[in-house]
Amino acid sequence: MARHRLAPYAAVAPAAVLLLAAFGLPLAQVFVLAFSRATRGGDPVGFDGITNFLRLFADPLFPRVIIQTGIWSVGIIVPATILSIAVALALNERFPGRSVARAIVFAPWAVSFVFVSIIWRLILDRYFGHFNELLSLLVGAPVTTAWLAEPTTAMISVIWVGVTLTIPFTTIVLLAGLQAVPGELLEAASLDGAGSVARFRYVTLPLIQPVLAVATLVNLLYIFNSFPIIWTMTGGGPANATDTFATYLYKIAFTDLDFGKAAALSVLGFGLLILISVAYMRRTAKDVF
Amino acid sequence: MTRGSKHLRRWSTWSALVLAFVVAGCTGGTAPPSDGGTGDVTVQFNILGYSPNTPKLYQKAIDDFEAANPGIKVVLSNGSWDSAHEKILSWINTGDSPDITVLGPKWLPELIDLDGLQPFDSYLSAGFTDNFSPSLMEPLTVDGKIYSIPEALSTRMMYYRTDLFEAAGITSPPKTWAEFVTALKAAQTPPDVYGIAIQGAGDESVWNYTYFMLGAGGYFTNEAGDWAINQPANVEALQYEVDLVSKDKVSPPDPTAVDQDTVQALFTSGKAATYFGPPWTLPSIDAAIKDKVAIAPYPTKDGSPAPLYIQDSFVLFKNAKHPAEATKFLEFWSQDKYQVEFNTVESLIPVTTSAGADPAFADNASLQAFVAAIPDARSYPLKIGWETVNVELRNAIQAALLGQKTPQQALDDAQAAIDAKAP
Repeated sequence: MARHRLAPYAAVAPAAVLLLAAFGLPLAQVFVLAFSRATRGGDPVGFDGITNFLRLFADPLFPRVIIQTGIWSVGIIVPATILSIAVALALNERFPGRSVARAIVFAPWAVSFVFVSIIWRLILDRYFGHFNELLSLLVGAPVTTAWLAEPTTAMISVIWVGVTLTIPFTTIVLLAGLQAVPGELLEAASLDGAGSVARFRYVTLPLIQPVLAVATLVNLLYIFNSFPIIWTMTGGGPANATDTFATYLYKIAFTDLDFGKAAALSVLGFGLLILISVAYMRRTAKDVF
Repeated sequence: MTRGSKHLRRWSTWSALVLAFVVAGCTGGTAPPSDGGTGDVTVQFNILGYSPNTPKLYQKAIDDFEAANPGIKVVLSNGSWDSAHEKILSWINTGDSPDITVLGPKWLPELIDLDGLQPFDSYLSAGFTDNFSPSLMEPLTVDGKIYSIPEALSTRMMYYRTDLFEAAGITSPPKTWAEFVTALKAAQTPPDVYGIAIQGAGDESVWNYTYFMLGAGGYFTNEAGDWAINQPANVEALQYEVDLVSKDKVSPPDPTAVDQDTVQALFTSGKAATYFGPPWTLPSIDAAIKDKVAIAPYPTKDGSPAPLYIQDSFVLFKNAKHPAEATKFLEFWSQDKYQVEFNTVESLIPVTTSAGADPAFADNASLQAFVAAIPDARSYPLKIGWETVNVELRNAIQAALLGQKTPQQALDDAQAAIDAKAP
């Protein structure tokens, strides 16, 4: 009997060991580093209490970065989720060329984020970008907006690219959820006189709710920590206007060589994400998790 | 600073790994391949290209070197200046580095402090450094040891459109700031043609500001050698730069959108009458508008030239596997044959005295204008913490150009941040 009870542990052991080695160990080291004095080479040299955290809180940029990370995350997740639901609903219908349409929707996801971001940086260039050219044609007057060079438009631009790169994953997940919605239920609702809006609101949405919850949480974790889009398009500029958690962390570590402060920020971000995740799971999706 | 034990070394590797994870897949490491066990020595040589031609020029020398030195292979890697600082740091942190890399000497003090480099002295042939001007070698020599060898050299000058200046009745290039504004106002017809395009995007914001900083008699540090970003001359310089955009309106209104490529394109297409820049843009500018362009020192507050020079150089990593062979190739590369071609193609000032005397440069009037600036020129400071200063200063310049802060406020904030982050 004992053999049987141990069997599951033996089965997960290899994966558990790998996970611990790949994530657990480094994670523990970051926690230690966060409470240590660190050399400019990144080695901990003695316990230092919460000094790293205090220095982080004293950085005038810190509150700004947290707010901007919130704007960046919510700014992407809300529109991307709404658009993904619409796209998934459309792709769930049968129509000629559906497989081509699906491929087109998923394609951006398959391309490197850095590459996509470089292309967008060129498109949005104030002087030589095609976006201003296109707008000029539409408006009939020269448009000279410096999209990536003004604080507000720069944030809107990186969020826009974030949205386009978040839609494919979210759509795939939601499409899988939609395909699990039984046709009979929708048919029954129709017979009861429900229009398409009512069918979506009272039948489809509750049924894809678990999938939606998972997709949103995964997106949140990913976008909060996302680095390549902003780094490639604006480098966090102009004047820190698009610095978020990840670019700020990178600069503290690799520009300032302040690995203790960077580790403290990592620990804070880690804790914050866990808090948000647990709160979200409790509130929105008790049944799912 | 003493380096930690092997145990601690592993610490930093792990921490760097986690940071890399948290930062969500930023840069892929490109660990150089190791020797194939053939008995041959493989030198890992990293450069930071100036143009698509740079690796080709080096490869040519490598082919000759390998033919002349059987048993030594040189593997060339070509990095980007944008990510060079981070990459060099990660090489030092992981202990897995090439033998030699190109870098900006402004990082030299920091890398020596991190104990990541070793001096060249014991590997260099006697008399090798005699072919470099002492003024180039001096900043690369620390505590009497040669930590770096010059690779490339340039100064910054003002290019100006003679056609636009002549049409405006300007016969000689402006020397003082006041003359400059007057000349630009006369030469420009905005919004089609501006007097200048202030560069406020990315790293260019700091390069561009440095011309005004030196022109006002300011500098990054004070006489004691401490960072002094908010000294009065620097504030005055930033005010002048901001005024060119918002008060005098001789620059397009969105300087934070203007980088090196943009400004070059605006200048060659006749949309900007002047441009402060390096010699390596000479070939493309000459190709487009050779008879409409002239070169002069960029204007300064009182009219006396205050040029900037920038030197790039080679360093030898402490963890170099084949320091002697790598240095041997470096000496091979420094021969006139390769130096003349490299500097001709890249349009740079030769770092070796013998190559500089070659007619290809001695008779090149445009390039000589850049060479003439060297005796008076200053470089970026060689001081620990340069990258922090660079980033804080960039943010301060952009905040001032965007009108978010006054120049005084912006530079005060930058100074406070630099002081708070001082190691």
